[in-house]
Amino acid sequence: MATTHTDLTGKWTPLQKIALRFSFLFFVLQSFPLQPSFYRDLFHIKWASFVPDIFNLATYTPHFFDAESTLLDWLLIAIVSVLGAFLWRKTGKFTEDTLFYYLRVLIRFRLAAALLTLGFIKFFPLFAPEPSLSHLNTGYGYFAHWKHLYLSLGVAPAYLSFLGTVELITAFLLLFRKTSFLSVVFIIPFYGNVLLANFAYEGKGYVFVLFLLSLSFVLFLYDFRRFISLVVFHKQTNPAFLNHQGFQRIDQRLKRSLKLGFALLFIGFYGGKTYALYADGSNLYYPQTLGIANIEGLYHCSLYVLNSDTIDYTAHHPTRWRDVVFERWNTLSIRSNQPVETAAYKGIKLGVTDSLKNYEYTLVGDRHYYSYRVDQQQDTLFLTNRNPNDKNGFILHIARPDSSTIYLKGTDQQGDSLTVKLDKIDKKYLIEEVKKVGRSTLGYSL
Amino acid sequence: MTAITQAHSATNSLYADISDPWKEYQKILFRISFIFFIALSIPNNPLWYQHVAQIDWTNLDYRDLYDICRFGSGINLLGNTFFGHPLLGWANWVNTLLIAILAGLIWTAIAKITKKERQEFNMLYYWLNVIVRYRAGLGIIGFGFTKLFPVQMPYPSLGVLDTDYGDLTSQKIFWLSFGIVPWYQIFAGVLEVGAGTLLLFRKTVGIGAALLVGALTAIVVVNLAYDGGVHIYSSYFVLLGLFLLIPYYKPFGQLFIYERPAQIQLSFPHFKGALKWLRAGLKFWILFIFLGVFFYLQMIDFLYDPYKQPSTAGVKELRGHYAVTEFRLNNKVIPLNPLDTVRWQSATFEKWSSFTFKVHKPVPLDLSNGGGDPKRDVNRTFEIAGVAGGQRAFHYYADTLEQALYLEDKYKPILDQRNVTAGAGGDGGVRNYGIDPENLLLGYSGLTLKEWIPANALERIGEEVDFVDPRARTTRRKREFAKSDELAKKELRKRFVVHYTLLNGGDRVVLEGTDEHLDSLYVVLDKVKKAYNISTSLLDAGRYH
Repeated sequence: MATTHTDLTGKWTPLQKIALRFSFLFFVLQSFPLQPSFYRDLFHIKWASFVPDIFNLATYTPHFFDAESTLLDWLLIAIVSVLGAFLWRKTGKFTEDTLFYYLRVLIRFRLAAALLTLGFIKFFPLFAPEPSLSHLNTGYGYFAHWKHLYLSLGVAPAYLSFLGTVELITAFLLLFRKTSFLSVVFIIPFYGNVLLANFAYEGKGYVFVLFLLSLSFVLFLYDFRRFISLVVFHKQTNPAFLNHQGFQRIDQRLKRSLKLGFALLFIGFYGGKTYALYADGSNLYYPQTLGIANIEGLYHCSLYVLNSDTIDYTAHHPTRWRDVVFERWNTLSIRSNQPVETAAYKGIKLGVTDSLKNYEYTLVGDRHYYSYRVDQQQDTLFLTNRNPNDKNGFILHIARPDSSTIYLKGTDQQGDSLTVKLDKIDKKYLIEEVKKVGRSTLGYSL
Repeated sequence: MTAITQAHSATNSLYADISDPWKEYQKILFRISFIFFIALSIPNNPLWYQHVAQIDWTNLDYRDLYDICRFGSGINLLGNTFFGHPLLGWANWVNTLLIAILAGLIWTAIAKITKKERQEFNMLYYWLNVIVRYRAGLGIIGFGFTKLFPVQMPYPSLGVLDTDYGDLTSQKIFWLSFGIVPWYQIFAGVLEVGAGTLLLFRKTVGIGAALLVGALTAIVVVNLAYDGGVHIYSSYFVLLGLFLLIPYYKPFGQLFIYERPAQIQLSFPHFKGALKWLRAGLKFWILFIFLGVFFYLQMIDFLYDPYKQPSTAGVKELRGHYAVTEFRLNNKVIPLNPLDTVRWQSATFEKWSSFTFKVHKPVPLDLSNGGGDPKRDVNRTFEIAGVAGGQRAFHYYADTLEQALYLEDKYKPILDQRNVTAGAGGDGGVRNYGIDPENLLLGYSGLTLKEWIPANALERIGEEVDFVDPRARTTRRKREFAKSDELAKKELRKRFVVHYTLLNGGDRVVLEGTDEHLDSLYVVLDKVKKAYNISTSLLDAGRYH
């Protein structure tokens, strides 16, 4: 469908007309949501959860068969579009060139909306969180590939900001017709890379990335022939419409106010709110409920008494605790020899309630994660296992004689009694020590 | 109308004859750029020339070609600082630029005084472009082949898989995040080699340079964000790429942004006769060597001697992760206590010739990139670079007849300088600060090199240089091994010797011997299966049968 008009004729062959109609229908069906869940979410936008709400809406794609989009949805939409393209007889008062123009406008703004929402949460590095303390104390091989991608982005917020900057600039350039091609020249390699990373790291979001790429390709193909003629063949190349308008455009004032509204929503409100989230240190992945004050850290389990059997530290006991990490929020994780049945990750859905924030324990083994609730007197912990594959839980009395010792005494769900003593380890993490002074300066001993 | 007058007569612009005189500022800028980019495109280190002259073209190593492509450049007569500031490493460029500006202005002055000033520099601009194109193209191809055959970022060793995430540097994390996805690394390699190849052909320079600028800008940011160490060399390609795109900026903007007719203004000479054949011949040889032969050599490297990991296979029965069930030092049992600073906590035997164990004690660290070009297994330190957590790694020679292992510490306090010919802008490795040379010998109460392996064992073990497939026994490898005994004498390494016994069909290994402090050692290791979630590598480098 991509024949460009390097001369003034503007003629469309029948095949090109069908291709144009197909594309128009295809992208309208992909971009304008037909499912009630979208409209429900749309009318339930709250300022408090503005960022995740807009993010979920802007990254919406039709999913008629499952909770997430699959290529089956594309097939369905493609079939409907092909049928529609053949049934579509009259173009009405629009010429093909004008129809194509409106298609490109739709594409540009759909793409820009997605890029702006993705871009701001990378520019203010919220997209990938810093590794939790539990993650820092988990063996490298226990993370699944997809987790490795997020962790590696999380340790270098500067890189994430760079990626966000690229997305934001290309999105901004898409708002203007004349700079759209320049924008797409960057978007295609960028998102091509994201697609390949998705496959390489076994992620599931590739359908959405393919959608963004398909949008970009339409814009790219529009100018492709001209681009090659200019850059490869060094020929004198004419623009699409030399000396004449080419298509009916939208009224200037309407155009300006629509663009302004778009920019206000996605750049002003969304960008501003993202900044606000970043500035006050919140993140989109870890629970927000705070844990016990000043308990955060890594603790070695020096005493472990199960049903009045004191079990020494040994390499082979099935359940003896080795170490425990208390997070800043109300999670603690226990490393023992007990195998972990790793929980699967169902995809990013931002802004959910604490109990649904599953980033810290999914796609990773080696540790058992418990969220805890403290009772009124502040001396009993109620532990629930966060992993849906593990039904274990504890009720433990907690005593803290000083800031580096914790005694826990209570029972688990099977009725076994447990007493443990935890000693805080003053652990220095290489990843943090190096960041303070740089590799060349840190030298050696850690 | 400007659209008509800007288009020159020939629409087939490969032979465009642009006779318009250049403007004054264009001529001055050109003179400065000419000096600046030539200075940045030729090697400035005499070691490089010496090195290239000594290459044995009959038995090539991938690193020979890589070293041709990777060299430091720029004028470093003023040293590598700008009035004392290293400017993160970019001081060399700033100095070169200042010298180029000075020289350019002098050139302008001389031309004006002698009244021999040219009106245009089209041909000279063409040759400058050729030099920069080939420098950038071959340079990035050299970089790219080690990704195309994924050896630049190796899949993590068992020792690394067992390391906690917080005990790694962010540089290591990034390198490993590529190592675990070899096919993605290959894609990156294809991109780099592809961009470099596109730069070697006139028609595709625009696309090649754009890809180069895009991909390498990302690499520069990665290196700055993760403290990777290669930000200068990566930004070098960004600079060259941006220069090569100069003829493209204005026409691109004119056509796509201002929607007016446009054309790239570049003139190319028309070679005739003998020159045409010479050009075709040179081009053919360059492509043959740097694409064809390089591809083959890198493949051999990937298959038999991946340059960042030891190439010798480890003892087959020993490979795996182990828990340390019993540990006796000088016949005294030390019970398992995760806070003990002497007792081993866990151990691994790699599929290659390395053994690691963890102790709860701060150990000296190698914080380099673990790269470079060492051929000896013991000097291939990728598995320890950037890794803490009390883990120590040892290279071993195995005498399978006597069931003895001769181990040497892979860590050494004074690291070898890597990429010697790369000079300024190359990652010369990280020196370990804070180590007092006099104190280095204080810890070494152990075995000397002579005492380490007895002669009859040496005979059974054989020569490490021949441990690889014959196709990988390159002259470069042989040369390094010929000097290795001399080098080993100067190295400060901890060494120890153990005998191993396999029990329970290989599930239990007992090690008995003396450690590096000449204390007697008795360790019982039990194999453990780790329920790792990380996907295993789909593409393994090296042969470890």
